[in-house]
Amino acid sequence: MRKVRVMYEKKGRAVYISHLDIMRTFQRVLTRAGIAVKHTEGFNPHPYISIALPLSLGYTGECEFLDMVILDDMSNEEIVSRMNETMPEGIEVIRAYENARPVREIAYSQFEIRMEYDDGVPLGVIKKLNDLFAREEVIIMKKSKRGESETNIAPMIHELSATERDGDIIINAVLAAGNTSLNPEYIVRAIDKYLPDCTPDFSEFTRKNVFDEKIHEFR
Amino acid sequence: MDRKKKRILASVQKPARYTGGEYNAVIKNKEEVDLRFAFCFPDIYEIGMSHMGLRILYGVMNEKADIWCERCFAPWPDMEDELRKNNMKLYALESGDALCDFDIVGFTLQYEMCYTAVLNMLDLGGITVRADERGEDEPLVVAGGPCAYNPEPLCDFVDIFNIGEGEEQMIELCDLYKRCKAEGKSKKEFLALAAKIPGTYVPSLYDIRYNDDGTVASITAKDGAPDVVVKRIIEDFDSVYVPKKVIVPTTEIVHDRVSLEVFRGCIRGCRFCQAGYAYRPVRAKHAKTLIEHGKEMCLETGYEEISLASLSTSDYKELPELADGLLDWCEPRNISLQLPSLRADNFSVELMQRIQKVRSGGLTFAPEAGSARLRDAINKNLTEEEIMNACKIAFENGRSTVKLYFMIGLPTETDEDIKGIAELSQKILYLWKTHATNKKRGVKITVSAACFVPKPQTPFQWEAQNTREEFKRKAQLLREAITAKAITYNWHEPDVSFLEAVFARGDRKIGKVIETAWKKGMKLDGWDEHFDLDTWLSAFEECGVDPAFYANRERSADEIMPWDHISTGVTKRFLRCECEKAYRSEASPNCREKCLGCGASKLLCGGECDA
Repeated sequence: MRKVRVMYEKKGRAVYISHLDIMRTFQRVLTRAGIAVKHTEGFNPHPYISIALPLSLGYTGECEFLDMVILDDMSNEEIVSRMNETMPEGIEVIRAYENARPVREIAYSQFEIRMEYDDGVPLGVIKKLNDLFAREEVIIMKKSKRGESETNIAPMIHELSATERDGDIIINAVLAAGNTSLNPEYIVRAIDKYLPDCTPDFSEFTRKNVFDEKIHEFR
Repeated sequence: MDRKKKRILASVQKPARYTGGEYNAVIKNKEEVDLRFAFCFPDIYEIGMSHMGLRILYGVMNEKADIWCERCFAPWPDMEDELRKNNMKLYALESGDALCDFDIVGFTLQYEMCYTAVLNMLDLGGITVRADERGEDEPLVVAGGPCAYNPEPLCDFVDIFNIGEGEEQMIELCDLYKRCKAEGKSKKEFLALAAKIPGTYVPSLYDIRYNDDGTVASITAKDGAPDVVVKRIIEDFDSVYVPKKVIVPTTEIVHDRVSLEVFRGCIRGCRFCQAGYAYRPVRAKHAKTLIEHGKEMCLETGYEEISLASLSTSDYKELPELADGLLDWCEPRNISLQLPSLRADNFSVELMQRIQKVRSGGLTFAPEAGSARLRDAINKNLTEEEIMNACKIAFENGRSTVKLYFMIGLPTETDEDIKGIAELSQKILYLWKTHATNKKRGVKITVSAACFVPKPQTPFQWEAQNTREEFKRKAQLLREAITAKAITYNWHEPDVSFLEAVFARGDRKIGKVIETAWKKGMKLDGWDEHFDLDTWLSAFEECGVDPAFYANRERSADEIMPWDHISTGVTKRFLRCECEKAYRSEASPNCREKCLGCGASKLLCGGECDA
């Protein structure tokens, strides 16, 4: 019996699998792969697995973590190949390893926001975006456990930069994750509030990486 | 995935319904196949993906290298709005190609209330809705499933109906299609040839004449089509193809589990039940075969639950062997076994206790009628003693939830029979009080009473349905008769049942009504929030069709039924005989006790009914 962390990607058609459904999907993948994992005790036993950071529906994830306890003696390489053989389209295990860091050390997520503008990229949008998110105060209505309230999201933005790529605007942002976290959706909302002329017609989100307090890669 | 589709999926609820890409979904190269088939289920993904027929036919067709069968489901209205707004066509999940790009588009008709969804899906898929207006280059539209036993209401829209079991017939039809396509034959030529495949009904090859009173005067086959289309069956059911690599949806569906089809047909002959007659003769699989299939399917899918599917699982001769064999394999793997459709009469205590070890559920019975007299009339051979005995065992084993299913408006029913429903449930409550081992948890008895819908190809096909007012009066009567707080009464609105009765025994005049109602916005009638009787009634009025003629009229014994040219193998004479027995409150023995010669065993060439 040993603890194993599996790092995986979620992309393509699989981005529409919800967090709850991805848990069930992994349970079945593990069954199909013949990887015995520890089950919960109780009346309705199910595999005891957990996902470090939930990913919003529709988001691509390039740095996702699944933790589990495997019962059989099986190498990490074998776990990877067995899981990938029975995976639905769009999910791929990159590696499996032991001695993973505790999830509570997660402090930041890095996101890429791809923003589409149907009538072309607005003039000067890159500078406007970089200026907006360099401010000390960016206040929007934000949901928290205690309900919706006016929140300054600037302290939750560790780094943010905008560039243009293939006719889209790409924002690269390192945002707070873990205890107080900032969903990148709020970046787009802030744009809508402060720069209504620069509101995109559609945005697509990708989690690129996960960091600890010191902006070292979390693994 | 293109940008337009990404935007749409970001704005609809439960987008996983529309993405495909599930494990075991079949992807082929469209350039390398000769025939592209879109299997359409006229309801949403979660319902359609639970359907065994889809799983089977998807597997059967995709086994053939030259056929690619894909899936398509009815979109929820939010998705439909987005598709229409963005000028996108309804597409099949595997390739993402629009329905109009397929060779054959096939619908399964599981219940009458899906008819407008069929029209809506055709339209959304870029296909002309009416068969007679559809172009040569448009897909062929076929349909099958239980509602095809009276296909007449959909004849305006469907080119071919498959009558009966499709495993062999679908492949024969596809082969003919490929040949005709290669030879450049016209649709008309193809249809005439298709009509020669047993179990294939081509509605355009039949002339229907009506009497002045609206009843059918004659049904005439032309161009060499058979006078009567007899349903297809799989004769050797034990060795029939069973898909093992079942698609595993990534979003939760209604029946999210391995489903093992134990046998087809039913020995019981409940007179209201279409399936009990239409799926005859009885053919079973061996327990050994089923255990192997169950194991293989669990390993291929990763499902944590197996369910046995049949019309009456406890009538399966090898049930103890099957349950033991499966449980021995399932228990150490944390896989649970579900046994729905167990009859109360041969309820096995041991089996129940063993199943409970893995997972537990409530207890469900379908006495259907409240009195022994009426149960005899509908041939539901279940005695009060049997129900009580089963409940007693369940209560003694610590169970405290009982669901009871009844119907109101059954032929020969009196107010006394309705009150009998209340009396029976109160007796069960008393039984709990005297036999429960753990009373702290309380007891919950749920009584559901559905409105009876007379179905074609059953002994009650001649019967008048109660009017909506009569249903409401009876429901009120039952509500007043149930006094105990521990008994919950679920009442069903009769509006949907009324319409269901019209479609179930409708003729070709109903097609125009369906089209009119669909144009008025009806598209998901199976969903309460999208069903609107007033819209339907206005459609009937516009078309000059009286729905009561179909729902509430008693037919004479010699009337030509709109479905008389479709045969399930069970003779009309036998059905009439059973109907008359009902009037005398006389039960029939089940098929295992005594063969009554219904006619269905003639479908087996030299074989014998396995009742």
